[in-house]
Amino acid sequence: MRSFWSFKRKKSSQIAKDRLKILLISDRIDCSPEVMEMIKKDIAKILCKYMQIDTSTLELEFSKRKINVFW
Amino acid sequence: MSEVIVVTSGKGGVGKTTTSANIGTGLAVLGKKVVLIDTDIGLRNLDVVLGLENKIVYNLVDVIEGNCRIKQALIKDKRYPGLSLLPSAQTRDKDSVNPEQMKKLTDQLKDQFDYIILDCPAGIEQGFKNAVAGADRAIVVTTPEVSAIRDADRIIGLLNAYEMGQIDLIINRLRPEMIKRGDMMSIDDVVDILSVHLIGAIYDDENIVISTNHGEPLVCSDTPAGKAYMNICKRILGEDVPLYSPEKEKSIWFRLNGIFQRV
Repeated sequence: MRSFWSFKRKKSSQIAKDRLKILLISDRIDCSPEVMEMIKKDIAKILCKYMQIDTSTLELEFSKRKINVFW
Repeated sequence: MSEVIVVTSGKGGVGKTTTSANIGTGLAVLGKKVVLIDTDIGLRNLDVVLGLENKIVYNLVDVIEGNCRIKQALIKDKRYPGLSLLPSAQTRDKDSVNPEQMKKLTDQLKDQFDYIILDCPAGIEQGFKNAVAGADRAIVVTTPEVSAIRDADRIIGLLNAYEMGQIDLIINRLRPEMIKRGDMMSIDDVVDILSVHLIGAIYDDENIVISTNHGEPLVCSDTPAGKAYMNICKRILGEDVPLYSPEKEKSIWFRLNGIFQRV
């Protein structure tokens, strides 16, 4: 079992943490990661329409009551 | 002032019943009057963990439906003066009780007891709603696993929606050697993810299985889990007790061992 997973460098506790962080955000706002990705793309599209931003560095932070946008 | 504490988790099998039994017993040992209520209708377990399964005459549903007085249904634990159990019904449906009835019952018990501890069933349906209805504070039990933490987060969200006065976290079944090699989330990792106040951490201990086999809570015993549960009880009473960690004891031993090996 260990040897099977050992090709992955990341420790499994770190993988669990990373997965949980994404999972809990989507659970808390009751929206799947795919939908969140779609929202992100749409927001980027709208922002590009009115101001010059680099969409590759665009970051969105989701919480229950607000969405923070960083670029 | 009496307090109603609900022990909940969302996910099943993380140690709610064991935690309820040990906290209830611990508080009784510390001189408090405690009643443990098993709210898992249809799947009662708290009675066997406490070793009181042969003493049941009436149960929670009998009390709610008025088939008996509260006093008749309470089982006094002879080993621990101050500890009583209100067992759940085994052959009834979980819908036989509603939140208003549970609240009324816990309010009535407040006159006689310092602590009313509700062992909540797994899930977020009727049983959960019943258990939470009359509670002043909640203890959420989780293990350092993705599924248990996800459910705990969901439960914490629901408890906040119910405007629960205080929410504390217990992390159960930690395994120091796995944490050390990076294969298990640490106490800090879990607290960081759930961002809720930690009231205790319990390391995986085979004595738990042995104590359940005997039907005897291990909170008074000189075992790692027993000490951890006793510390949680003291923290519930407001004492400031540092986190118990078997790692610390072990590391001193390892250090000594290292010195000897060098010599």
